[in-house]
Amino acid sequence: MEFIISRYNPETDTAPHDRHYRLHQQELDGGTMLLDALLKLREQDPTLAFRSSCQEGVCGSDGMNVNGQNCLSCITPLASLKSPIVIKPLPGLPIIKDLIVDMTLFYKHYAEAQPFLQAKPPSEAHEHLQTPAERAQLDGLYECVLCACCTTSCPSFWWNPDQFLGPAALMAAQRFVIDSRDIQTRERLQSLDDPMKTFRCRHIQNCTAACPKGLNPSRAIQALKASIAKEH
Amino acid sequence: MQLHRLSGNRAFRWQRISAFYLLLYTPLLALWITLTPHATTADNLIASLTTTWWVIPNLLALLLVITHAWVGLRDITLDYTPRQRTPLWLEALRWLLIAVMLNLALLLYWILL
Ligand code: SF4
Ligand code: SF4
Ligand code: FES
Repeated sequence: MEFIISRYNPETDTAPHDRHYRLHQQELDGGTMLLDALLKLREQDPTLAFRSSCQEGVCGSDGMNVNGQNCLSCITPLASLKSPIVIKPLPGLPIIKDLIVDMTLFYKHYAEAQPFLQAKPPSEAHEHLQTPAERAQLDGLYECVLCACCTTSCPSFWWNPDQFLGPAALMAAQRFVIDSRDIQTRERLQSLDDPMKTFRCRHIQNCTAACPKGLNPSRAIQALKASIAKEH
Repeated sequence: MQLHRLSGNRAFRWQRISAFYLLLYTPLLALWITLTPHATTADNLIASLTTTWWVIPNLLALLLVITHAWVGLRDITLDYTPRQRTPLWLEALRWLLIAVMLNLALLLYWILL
């Protein structure tokens, strides 16, 4: 199996360059995911840098671009990839080293979406209650693991990375806009009524195609825009 | 024009409204032209499209085409012009819109009167 991995060390390189690696199936010791292969490759070449933690698609730390598609390496079966496997860092964010990107901007946009519940002060008698139907509305929105696969595959984010919040942050915003317990809905919608923050989204749906958790940020943004339009 | 004064949702709504109208209007117009046997010259066609029944839908379509195009052009301007120059380009776009409207008004005056 052949791998072409983009390498970049800011201390020695002026630009990223490709490096070729080989791995035999036997060397994988039964590992079936791309991350297993990367861990083996790092034994061959300890200077290879990439992030990973949970190894089961929960922490969102190993987002990378593989054969042109953003994915989480730990839940991407090797068998689904055509050799040579071309691995690059997530596009559109500054590279720190090899496959590790600087997520500062991504988190900044996420923070701007105020991804926390702003409810009435809790009463002593009972918690903030929701009907099962109200709770069900959050399904498909709250499961995001913040891997940035969606945002970094979005052409609107590539063009305006500092101003367009991107699909992950906008989906988080929608998650709280439709939460029946949140009392800041109007303020949230007002702050999102902006041609750059929200309305750069053109529903190209790269984000939905990229999401390794099977979520649909594009649909969430469409619903968010509809709520903003209704609010005014 | 300051970027923060631009509305996101207003443009979005007009884009939707105009698209919806044009979606209904265009096939109807095509049908009308096909079914109007004497519309073989531009003069005849204009005459048949300025009849009482058609004049308002046509005018509306024209205005909505311009609106739709304006939102699209505004999006292109916001996306692709160098950041420092964007307000300048938006201002130019606004004047272009005003010029197009004036031109259109003159044209209509000439056709209808
Ligand atoms: S649907 Fe919107 S957010 Fe998703 S990739 Fe397209 S422009 Fe980006
Ligand atoms: S929406 Fe999907 S792709 Fe985007 S950050 Fe969340 S889990 Fe990752
Ligand atoms: S290592 Fe945690 S999501 Fe892949």
